[in-house]
Amino acid sequence: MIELIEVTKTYIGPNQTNIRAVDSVSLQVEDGQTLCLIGTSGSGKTTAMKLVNRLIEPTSGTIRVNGRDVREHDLIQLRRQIGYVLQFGGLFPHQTVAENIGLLCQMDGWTKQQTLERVRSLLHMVNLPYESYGSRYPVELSGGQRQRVGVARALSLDPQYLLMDEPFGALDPITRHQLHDEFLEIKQKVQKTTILVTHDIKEAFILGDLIGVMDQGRLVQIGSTEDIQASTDPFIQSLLHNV
Amino acid sequence: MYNPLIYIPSYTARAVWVGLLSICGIHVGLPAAAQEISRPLVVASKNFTESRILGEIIAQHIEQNSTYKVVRKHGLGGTLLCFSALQHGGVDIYVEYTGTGWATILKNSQKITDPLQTFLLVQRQFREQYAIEWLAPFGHNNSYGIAMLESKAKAMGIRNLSDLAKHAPNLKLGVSLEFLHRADGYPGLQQFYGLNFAQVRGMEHSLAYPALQSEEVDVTDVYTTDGNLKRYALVALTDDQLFFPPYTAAPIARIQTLREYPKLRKLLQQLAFRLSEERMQTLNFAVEDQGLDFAVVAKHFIQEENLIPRNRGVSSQITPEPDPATSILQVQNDQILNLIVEHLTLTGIAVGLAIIFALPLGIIVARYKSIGPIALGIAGVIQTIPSLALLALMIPIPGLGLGYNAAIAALFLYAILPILRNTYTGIAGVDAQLIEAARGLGLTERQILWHVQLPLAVPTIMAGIRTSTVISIGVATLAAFIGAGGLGELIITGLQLNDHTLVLTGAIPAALLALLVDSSLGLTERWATPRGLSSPAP
Ligand SMILES: Nc1ncnc2c1ncn2[C@@H]1O[C@H](COP(=O)(O)OP(=O)(O)OP(=O)(O)O)[C@@H](O)[C@H]1O
Ligand SMILES: [Mg+2]
Repeated sequence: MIELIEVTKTYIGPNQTNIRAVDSVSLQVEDGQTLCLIGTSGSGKTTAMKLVNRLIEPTSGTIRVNGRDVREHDLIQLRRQIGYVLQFGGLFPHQTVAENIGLLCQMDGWTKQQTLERVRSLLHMVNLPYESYGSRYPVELSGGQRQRVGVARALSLDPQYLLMDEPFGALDPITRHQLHDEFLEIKQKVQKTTILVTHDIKEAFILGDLIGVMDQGRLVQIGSTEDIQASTDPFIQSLLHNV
Repeated sequence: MYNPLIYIPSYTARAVWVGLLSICGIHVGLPAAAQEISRPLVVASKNFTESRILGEIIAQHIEQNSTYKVVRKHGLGGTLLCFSALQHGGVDIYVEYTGTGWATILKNSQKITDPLQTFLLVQRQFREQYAIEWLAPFGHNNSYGIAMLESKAKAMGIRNLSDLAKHAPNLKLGVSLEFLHRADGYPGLQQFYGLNFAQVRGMEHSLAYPALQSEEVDVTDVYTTDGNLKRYALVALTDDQLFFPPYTAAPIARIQTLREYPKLRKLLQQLAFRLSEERMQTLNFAVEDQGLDFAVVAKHFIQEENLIPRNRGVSSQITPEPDPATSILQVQNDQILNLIVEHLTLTGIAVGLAIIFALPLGIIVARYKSIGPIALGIAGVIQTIPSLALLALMIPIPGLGLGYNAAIAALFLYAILPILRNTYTGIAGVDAQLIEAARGLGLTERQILWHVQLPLAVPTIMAGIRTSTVISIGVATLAAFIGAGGLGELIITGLQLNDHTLVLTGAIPAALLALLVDSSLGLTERWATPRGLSSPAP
């Protein structure tokens, strides 16, 4: 379970003004659930996510993972049990697809053989055959392929948690569709507690058990697809109608 | 002025010298090839006044007293250049000093102080090892010496260094920094004679003369034949207990040459023992302070010594012209490979050391950014020191001295900045998003350094090493100025001789070397760059 309790992150902006990137946000993601965070650009989605794996420290409030305050976890261990998919892929350009995916296994002291098998099965899972993609470099992949490798890398240590920052952003509808199916398939195969950020409300409806709507750092509403669709909040209404 | 002759105190000793030498002469000179040879004799000198004057005296003497033709190669840079030219036939005769022959050429390390013994040992070893003959010496000894105002020395009754030791507590010493720190300079001398000066100062040597005049210092170090002794009315004190190694000047030539030119030995022996330190000072003074052409000074000397046959006038062609087309170049061709190897070794060691030093430093600096500006600042300042000045700065540092080590130290310092800066910028310049990705995945800082930052910085670091290497190859041509060898030897010699061919003989291989090394490092760089980085980043 991932819990945020009254979490605020304030940045000092120009002229000493405070930017509340995340503003008194409280939420819970039960084990095996997927929370989709949606909101306009700059509403604090990425910030909220990075608070969970401590890439950012909160100004106030508490974040719990697995029932324990994140500050009490060993930092490296915490991060290794939280798979992280970056907004722009974040693949290491000097490493092949296989090396990118196998990096964490290697760091964790797996044997070459174990790593290789893991890489194979993960590539298979994201529909990129090892034989034709394993030895490619990120530059040699399309945007969608890179995002899939990013997802596979996040899953390499079979983490209990997943943080996915717009993993399917900026893709054509067909590829995106394909990736959605893959995600749901993966979700069925491996139970993960996931926070997934998206700009796209349709994507949120497809992928999320829970949908959180953010605006200017605040969590405007959190609930099921039905709850959101039934909302009368003008901001949510505008989100729904701009689809 | 009393006689400052240091090492030939009496005519008896002089007679012994001449006797011994003539025995040697008979011994070596017998099986002379009888036919006259028309090839001119190449008479060379090193690049300082005294060597040029002596070389010119030999040249004129041969021209006027024999039918041999003479080609002059004055002002060659450095002992080893002169000597290897002599060995390989590019030069036939030049004047060498026994101390140099003993330590620099024969590379004997033990100290030797007796002039006659030194001469005989050097002569024997040269015959055995090089088939080169030391002919009769000119008679003077151009060694280190200790000098003071002649008037003061007389007033205090100081004639030699033992006398000086008695008066030292009332005297101030001002010597060149080199002399102050060399083990065979002041520290050794101080112990040997038990000198206890009231004050000891290291100073730029050219300032010592006026300082003596104004009595700011009383005693300084000199070369015993320095023309300045005369100019400033100084006297070099006798090294009565023989501390300084002897530097007896004598012409040297290949034994083969002496056979081919049967009259040569006799001609050179006519010049024997015609000079004292004092006389040599006068000749040096005439060139250095009175601005006379050394060829004119040599001519006067020959006239004064009645070395010209009565029935012949002085021939007028005495202005030496370097002749770039002939034998010197052949010598260089033999040498050029050695010089290239020397050059590359010099550069390689320096850049290697710079990598060992600057790469870890760059990593540390990238990690602790606060020390970045300081480290880069220091390296940057070093880089702005003109190369020649930096080379010169290395010389007084203990353990470096003149030559190889000093050159390596200077090149090393030059090579640091590009490697340090590129390591730093290469690591610090890695996309912050990638670092965050690595952190987010759960890599430790050390793992991030090894698996993300360093591999991504490789192309930048390699470019830094490449820059350092190319700079070093260029700067290494200046290393010859401090006697560290390399291709610069040819360039500098060429400049001194105003011999463009010779300059190019050094400069072209140096430039080609730089290009070659640059492109091969370029290939290495491409090879070392991960494939994923060779096309535009994702
Ligand atoms: N390091 C920072 N310093 C100052 N302000 C920041 C910093 N990081 C983010 N912000 C601000 O915090 C707010 C939230 O940023 P965040 O990246 O969380 O937005 P987002 O919802 O992920 O936007 P997008 O959909 O464009 O990715 C923005 O107004 C942003 O300008
Ligand atoms: Mg974002």
